[in-house]
Amino acid sequence: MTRLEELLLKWRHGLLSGDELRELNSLLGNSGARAGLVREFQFDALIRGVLRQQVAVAAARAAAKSFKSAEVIAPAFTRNESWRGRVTGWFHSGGIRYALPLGAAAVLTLLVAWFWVRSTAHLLVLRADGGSAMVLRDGRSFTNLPAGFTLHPGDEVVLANTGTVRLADRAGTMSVKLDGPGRLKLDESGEPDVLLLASGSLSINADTAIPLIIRSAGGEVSARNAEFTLHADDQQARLEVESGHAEWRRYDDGRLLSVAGGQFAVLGSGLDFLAKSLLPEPWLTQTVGEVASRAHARFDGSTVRLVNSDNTRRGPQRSPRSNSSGKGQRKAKGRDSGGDGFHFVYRRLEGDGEIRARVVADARGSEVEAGLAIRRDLTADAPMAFVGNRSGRSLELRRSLRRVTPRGLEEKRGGSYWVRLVRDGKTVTAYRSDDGQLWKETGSGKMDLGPTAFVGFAATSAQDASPHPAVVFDNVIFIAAR
Amino acid sequence: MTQNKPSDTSAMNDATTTITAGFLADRHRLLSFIQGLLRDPQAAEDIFQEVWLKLAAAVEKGAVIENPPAWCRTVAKNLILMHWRSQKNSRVVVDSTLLEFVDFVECAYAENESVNETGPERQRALQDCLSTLPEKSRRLVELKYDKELSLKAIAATVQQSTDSVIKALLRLRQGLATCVEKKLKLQELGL
Repeated sequence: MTRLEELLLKWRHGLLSGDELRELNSLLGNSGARAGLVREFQFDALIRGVLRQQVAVAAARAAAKSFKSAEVIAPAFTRNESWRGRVTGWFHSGGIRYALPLGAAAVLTLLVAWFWVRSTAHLLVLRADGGSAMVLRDGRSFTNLPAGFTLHPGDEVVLANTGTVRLADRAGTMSVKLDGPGRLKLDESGEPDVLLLASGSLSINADTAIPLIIRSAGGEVSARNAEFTLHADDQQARLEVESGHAEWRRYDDGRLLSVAGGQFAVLGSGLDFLAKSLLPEPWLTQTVGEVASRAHARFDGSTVRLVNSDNTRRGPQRSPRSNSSGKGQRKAKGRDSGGDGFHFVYRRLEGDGEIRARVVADARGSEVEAGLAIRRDLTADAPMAFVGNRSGRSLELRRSLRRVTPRGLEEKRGGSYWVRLVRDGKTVTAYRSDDGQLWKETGSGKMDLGPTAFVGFAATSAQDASPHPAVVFDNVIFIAAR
Repeated sequence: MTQNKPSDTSAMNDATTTITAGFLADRHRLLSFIQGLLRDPQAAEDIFQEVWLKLAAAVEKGAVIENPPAWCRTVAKNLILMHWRSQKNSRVVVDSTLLEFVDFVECAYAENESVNETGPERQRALQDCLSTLPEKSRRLVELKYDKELSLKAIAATVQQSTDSVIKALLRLRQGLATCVEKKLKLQELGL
């Protein structure tokens, strides 16, 4: 390193002082130094030019590399990309090639599953062993049907003798009971909710989204949310609707009949196609006071059947003996005004008379308060006498003029029991019996029932706000003095 | 543009072609002259371009330039002096000492017209030598000749003193020059 080189370096960086510049001029007085200066300046320019050329080439290579990469590498998503850029990039990146088939397969699978569920939801399955039932399918017969046996479209269930076959659909929206002898066939067209009843008694409790259609001789029944029974043979059919309503259309003239809960209708040659009450005149039914559910009643002349029409709770159900003044009065649960609340199947009683029956409670009999009642009118607070399974000590008189002295009969809960209620002037007397032959007076009292009283069968739930189970009064005897 | 007769136009075109060819052949020397005097690389580029424009304009006007390289250096020297004088905050004081130095530089280039150490062979040799530099030395060279940083800025960047940077740069220049000479010598020997 020479002094000239050092001074020139300082000169090029502005670090040369005045003295150093004069020193440099002094050095340049030599021709060799001047030649050296030229070489120094040229070498600096050479380095600068070569470096810039290398940097430019490197930058060009980098740009070419990045440009080539931009062509080859699929565009990647960044957070700042717009949705359109994302979709476009995703499309070009090939994602659509996989997403489309997968999406189509998923949709197809869902459609198949939906159709399968829809087509099989109402396939009927045996809920219990088929017993003596036989299933005919494609010319073959199946016997000894186990529980869970599935009926297919076109299958026919045959009950040659008496017996019962219980069926239900997969969706759990419909239960079917066929009482033999009878024949029931599933529609061959594959329509899930069409049944063909050739003969027998078909009881159905349906809560289906689409109408259930039962075809039989002379017409077809359509119901969606109903409990009904259809008796059919070759000549005629009888439809009894216990709850909800059903529509019955005749094949011959297309007439449509709406049959509501508590009504029945008959379709046959020479018969009126009308909906009638299941209670024969002069028997009527209604609720007294507030009850938890509706009920329908059927009376064939000797047996009264009170069945809940729905499970809709409309308020606290009240005992037919609520607010009784007797010693055995049960403390009211949630009652506000002290009025009654029960289902009442009744008729008018002019003057004296009596009624007797056997109360048959099912396995849930203990949850039922059922018995005979006589009252002055149908208002909730009317004077009433009641005898039943929970009638305390045999008879309860509400707002009666006098208390009834118990005679020692124990209260019976559940099971069957005989009861009898006699009106003689202003005196009401209650009886109980174990066999319907020997009656024991369990209590009596005086009350003003007016010239025309209402007498009949009362039932309600022992549990407030609960619908009572079915109650049957059989061996019914009604005697009117007039 | 001056309109000339066809015969004059043909002669002018020949002169312009000759002058242009000569200017391109001597451009590295002229650029080294300008860059040697001016520390601002951008100003050096502008003055180099201005020299070419003035040369072309003079040829177009029919001026007879006997020694184009000397004519270009003189024009460049005047432009450099004008540049220094136009810079109000310039650290360069245009005084007699500086003018003497500029004259010495111009004289050095005039005396050494045959010295042209910027040719393609030398460029290739320098490229090879630069590629053999260690990363630290290479970075130092780039900071000096590509980024055109001042010695203080280079010293701050490499975290060394200014004197150390000066010594390192001088050693690097000397090593590169030696490397280039060796490579050129080997090329001459056919090795």
